[in-house]
Amino acid sequence: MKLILIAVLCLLCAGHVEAQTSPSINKEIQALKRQVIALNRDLFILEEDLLFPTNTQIAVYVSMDIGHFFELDSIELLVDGVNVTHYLYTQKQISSLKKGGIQRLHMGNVSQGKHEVTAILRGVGPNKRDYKIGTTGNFNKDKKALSIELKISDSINKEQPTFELVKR
Amino acid sequence: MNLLNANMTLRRFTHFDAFRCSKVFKKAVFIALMPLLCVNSTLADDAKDNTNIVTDLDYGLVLFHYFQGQHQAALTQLAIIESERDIKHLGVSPELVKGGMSLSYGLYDEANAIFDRVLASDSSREVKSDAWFGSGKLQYLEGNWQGASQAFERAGNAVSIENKDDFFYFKAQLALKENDIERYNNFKSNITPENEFHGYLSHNYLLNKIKAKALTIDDLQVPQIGNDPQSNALADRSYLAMGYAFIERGNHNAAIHAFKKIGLDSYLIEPALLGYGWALNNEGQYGQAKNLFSRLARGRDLNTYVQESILANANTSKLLGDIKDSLQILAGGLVKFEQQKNHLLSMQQQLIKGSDCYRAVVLLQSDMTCDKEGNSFNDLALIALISDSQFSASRQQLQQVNELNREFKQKLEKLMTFEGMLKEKQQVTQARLEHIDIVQLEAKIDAFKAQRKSLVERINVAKSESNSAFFLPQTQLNQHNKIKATLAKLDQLQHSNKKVVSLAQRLDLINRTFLWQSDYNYAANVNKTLEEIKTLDFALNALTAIFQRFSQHVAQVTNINREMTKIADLRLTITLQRQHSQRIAARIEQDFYTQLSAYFTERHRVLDHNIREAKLAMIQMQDASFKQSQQALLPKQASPQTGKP
Repeated sequence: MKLILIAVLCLLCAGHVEAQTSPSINKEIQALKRQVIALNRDLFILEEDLLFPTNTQIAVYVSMDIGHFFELDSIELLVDGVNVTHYLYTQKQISSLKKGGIQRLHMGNVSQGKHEVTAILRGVGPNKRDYKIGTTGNFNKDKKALSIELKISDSINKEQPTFELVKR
Repeated sequence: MNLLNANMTLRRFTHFDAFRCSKVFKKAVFIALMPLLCVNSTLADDAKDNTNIVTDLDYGLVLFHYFQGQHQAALTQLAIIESERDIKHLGVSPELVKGGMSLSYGLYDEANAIFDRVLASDSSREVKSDAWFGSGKLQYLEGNWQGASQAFERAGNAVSIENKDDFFYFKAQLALKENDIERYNNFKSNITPENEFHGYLSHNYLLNKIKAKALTIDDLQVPQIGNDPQSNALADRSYLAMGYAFIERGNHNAAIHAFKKIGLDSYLIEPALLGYGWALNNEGQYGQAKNLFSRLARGRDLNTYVQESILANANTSKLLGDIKDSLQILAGGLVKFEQQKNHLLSMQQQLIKGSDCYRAVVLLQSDMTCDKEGNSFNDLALIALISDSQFSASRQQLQQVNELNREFKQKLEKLMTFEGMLKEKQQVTQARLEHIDIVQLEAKIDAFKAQRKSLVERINVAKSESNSAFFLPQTQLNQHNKIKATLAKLDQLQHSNKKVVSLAQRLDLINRTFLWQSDYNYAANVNKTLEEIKTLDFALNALTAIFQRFSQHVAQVTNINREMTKIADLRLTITLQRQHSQRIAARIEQDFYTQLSAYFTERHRVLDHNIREAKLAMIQMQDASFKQSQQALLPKQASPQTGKP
C-alpha cells in the first residue's frame, strides 16, 4: 500500500515541478545553436553571391498595412511576362504581415535595363466578395540589387484596398 | 498530436482496452506531459500584436519569421543584417524583439545580455518593463526563483498587454512556491478567466495543500475551465491526488467521493480503481471492493496497480472468509508474477537504444510504432518516468541536438553543392575563354583608342587651320576631288593646244562655288564631326566598361580560391559541430539508459516483493487452516483424559 501511495504521489507531482535541464548540456546546446545561426548567415551570403549577384539580383517583397478591406489568399508574380512565383498564404503568414512583417516573395536574376513586374493578387475584398486585382510597375535594373516592394494598404476614404509596386 | 486524436484515445479507454504501446501509449504520455507543455508553450508564444512601422525591408523579413514563431530563421536574418549594417526601424525595440527571439530559441545567455543592455539604456518605461519581464521569465526557466521574483517586481504594471497573462501566471507560481496564498489568489485573479493557466495553477495549489496536509472536504470540487481532454485529464489528476491523500489521512469516505469523480475513460483509471477499492475495503464494504479488485486484476498488463489489485483481491476474499478463493487468487497471481518477470526482461530488451520501441516509447517519435506481439508499455510508472519533467526536458534537449545535427548535415550537403557550382562555373568560363583571346581583345581596344586619339589630333589641327575641306562630308569630298582631277586633265589638254578654255572656265566657276559652299557650311560640318567624335567616345567607353567587367568576371570565376577557402573553413566547422552534437546526444541517451535501467530494477524489486507477499500470505493462510484443523482434532485427542467425547 505504501509503495503505491508513494508511486501515485510521485506520478501526480510530476506536473508541478518545472523542467530543469542539465546546465552544462544546456550551455553546449546554446553554443551549437549559435553556430547554426552563424553558419546559416555565412551560407546565405555565399548562396546570394553565387546565385543572385547584385548586378543581376531582383527581389520582390510584400508588405501589408492594416488589411481591413482585403484578406489576401494568393499572389502570382510575373517578371517580364514570365510567371516566377505563385504563392498561397497561410493564416499565420497573413497575421504576421498584418503585424508588420515583410515577406520576400521572390528572388531572382534579370539583366540590366528596363523590366516589367506584375503582381496578380487574389483574396476577399470589401463586403466579403472575391477579389482579384493586378498591378504592374516598370523598373530599371542597374548594377545595384533591385528591391521592389508590393505594398498592400487600405484607402480609408474609398473603403477599398490599394496595391502598388514601389522601388526600394 | 491534436485534440481529436487525444479524444480517440480516451474513447478507447472506456472499454478498458489493453493499453498497448504504440500511438495510444504516446497519447497517454502526451496527456501526462500536458502541464509541462503548457509552461513551455506559453514561453514560446511571444507573438506581439503591435503594428510596426517597418522602414527596413530586411528587418521586416525578420519580423515576418518572428511573428510566425520561426525564431531560428528570424535570428539568422537578423545576423545577416547585423553583419552588413545597422537596422533602420521604428516601433517595437529591435533589441527587445531580439531578446524575445533569443529566449524562445533557447539562447539564454544572449537573451540575458540583451535584456541587461535594454535595462541599462534610456529606453521607455514600457520597453524596460517588458525587458524585466523577459529577464524574469529567463530566470524562472533557469530555476532561479528569487531572481525571477525580483525581476517581475521591477517589471511593475507596465508590462505590455500581450504579456500580462504570462506575467501573472509566473507571479502566481512564485507566490505558491513561497506559500503566500493571498498573493497567489491576487495574481491568479488578474489572469483572463478563460485562460487555461487557471487549471494548472489550481492543480498546483491543491498539491501544495496536500503536501501541507491542509486538504479539506471543500477541496473536493475542482474548478474546471473547459471540457476538453486536457482540462479533464488535469481534473482527474487532482481528484486522484486528493483520493490518496484522504486515504492516507484515514478519511475513506472523502476518498471514495474523490475517486468517483475520475472518468472511466481517464488514463489514471487503474490507480483510481485501486484507491477506490482500498477506501471501500477500509470502510468495511468488502463485497464492492472485491468487485473492483477483480475487475482491475483482470487487466491484460500486469503493471504495479494490477499486481497490487491481485494481492488486495486475495486479502478481501480472506476478509470475507473465503480462504479457498483467496488461495486460488494468490496461486494464480504467483503464476502471473513469474510470467511478468520474463515479460519485463523482454520489455527491457525491446527498449534498447535505436530500436523501434525505444524510439516510439522513449523518444516519442511520431513516425515510429512499437506494435510487436505482447508489448505492454502502458505501465503508469513508465509513463510517469517518460513524462517526468526532468526526462521530458532531457528528451527535448535530445530532440534539439538531433535536429541541429540534421541541420549541420543539410548544410554540409548545401556547401558541397556550392562547391560543385563554383567549380562548374570555373570550368565553363575556362572552356569559353579558350575561344577568346583576351590579350588580343585588349590590344584591339587599345588600337581603337589610339586611332581615336590620332583622329582628334588631326581634327584639332584642321580646326586651327580653318581647313574647311577637312570637314567636308565624304560625298562632297569625292565631288571636290573629281573637280580637281578634271581641272588637272583640262590643264593637260590646254597644253596640248586643245580648245577647252570655256570648259576650264566653267569648271573653275563650279570649283569656286564649291569652295564657297564648303566655307559657308564650315561651322555646321565641324559641329557634325565633333558630334560624331562624341558618339565614338561613348561607344568606346561602353566597350571599355564591358571589357573591364568581363575581365573582372573572368578573374573572379577563374580564381575561386577565396570562395574555396571559405567553403573549406565552413566544412571544417560543420564537421566539428556535428561530431560535438553527436557526443552530446550520446551523453543524453546514456542518461536515458541509466534511468530506464533504474525503472526496470524497481519493477523487478516490486515484483519480487509482491511474490514474497503472495507466498507469505499463502503460507500464513495454509498455516492458519492447518492450525484450525489441528485444533478441530484436539478435543478428540483430549477426550480419553477428560473422558468427554
